[in-house]
Amino acid sequence: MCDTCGCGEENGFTLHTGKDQHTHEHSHGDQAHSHMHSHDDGHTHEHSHEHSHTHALFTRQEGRKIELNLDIMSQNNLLAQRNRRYFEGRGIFCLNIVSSPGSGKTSILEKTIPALKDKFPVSIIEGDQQTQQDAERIRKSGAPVVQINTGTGCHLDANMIRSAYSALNPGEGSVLIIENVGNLVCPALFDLGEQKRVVVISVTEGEDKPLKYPYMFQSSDLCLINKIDLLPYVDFDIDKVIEYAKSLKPGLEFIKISARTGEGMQDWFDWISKNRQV
Amino acid sequence: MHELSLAMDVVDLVLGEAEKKKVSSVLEVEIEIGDISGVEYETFRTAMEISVKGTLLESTVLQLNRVKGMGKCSNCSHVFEMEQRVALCPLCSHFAGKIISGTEFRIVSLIVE
Repeated sequence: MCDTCGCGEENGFTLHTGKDQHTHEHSHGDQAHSHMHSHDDGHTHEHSHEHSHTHALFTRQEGRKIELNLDIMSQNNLLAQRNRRYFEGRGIFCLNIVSSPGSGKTSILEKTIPALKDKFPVSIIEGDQQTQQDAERIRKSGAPVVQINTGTGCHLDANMIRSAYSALNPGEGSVLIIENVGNLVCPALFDLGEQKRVVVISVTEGEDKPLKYPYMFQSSDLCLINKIDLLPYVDFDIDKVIEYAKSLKPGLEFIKISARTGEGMQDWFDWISKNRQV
Repeated sequence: MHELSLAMDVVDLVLGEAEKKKVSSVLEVEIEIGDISGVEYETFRTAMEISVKGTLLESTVLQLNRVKGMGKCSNCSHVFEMEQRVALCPLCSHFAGKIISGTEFRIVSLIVE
């Protein structure tokens, strides 16, 4: 990581803090991260297993079996829990915004930041595969922002978020909004440590999207239905999408908005203010 | 393609365990993948083949076990196989209220020497 600005490449993703315009020449020949488990207390795990070997189906002669039963998501979940404790300890309200590409996440944020930043500090973590264009748009609307480029990755994970907020250093009582990579599949599986997850669907998409991408709707707390100014021009049945989404997650909340015209946006701002205090 | 980053996590977890238990080699890794876990079986297998390259696990046997998605109807309590995370009861067409199995994604065991 660059000592001047905090930019850096770590484990395959790139962090842009945008604090400076200087270039970085990272060598990173030390990518072989070393896992220094010390274990010098000498516990040897030499279970003797003399129990008459009923697992006769097991034909392999060499080697011994170690039962692990280790949840593979546990690594991310553990880091997400740490993030969550960090946010809670500082009274930071963290939102994770997910959607398909092009549903209007960045436009929503561009309108949200100016409306909220006088009430409480707002900072943004931007996730995209490539480019810093979204971060530039956010910066212009007046919020500190860190851009994470996931490279070949399709989602943000808890470790990336930790690096990003370490660089951002959001203040106590602030709101931290994560704009996830536009993708309705992968980000659903990765807890980032957010307090609330917000899924955005726009009326130019199909109303059966909740049924096609159920994980995302099942794991969200609020559904923003965006671009409602376009409703007269599209065949999008709002009642249907709500019905589908509620069949997956009965407690899901909905707010209908147009980031372009501003319709319904006050309800969204109020939702953030209300949930921030809870 | 979250399968690739998950496969890399698996390699890290297994190598970590191998180091902790001071084993000289890992002969086999047994992993359970639920059909409705959100992890694509074939993609994950390919991702594992890529992720073990150049590590101590390069010649380790990968034992991938699939677990069927099973759900219980919220209305009539019928237990049925779920091919998707969202599934309607074949008897009464209500949504499955409870997922019984199929969301597993874990390293079950290692065979080491």
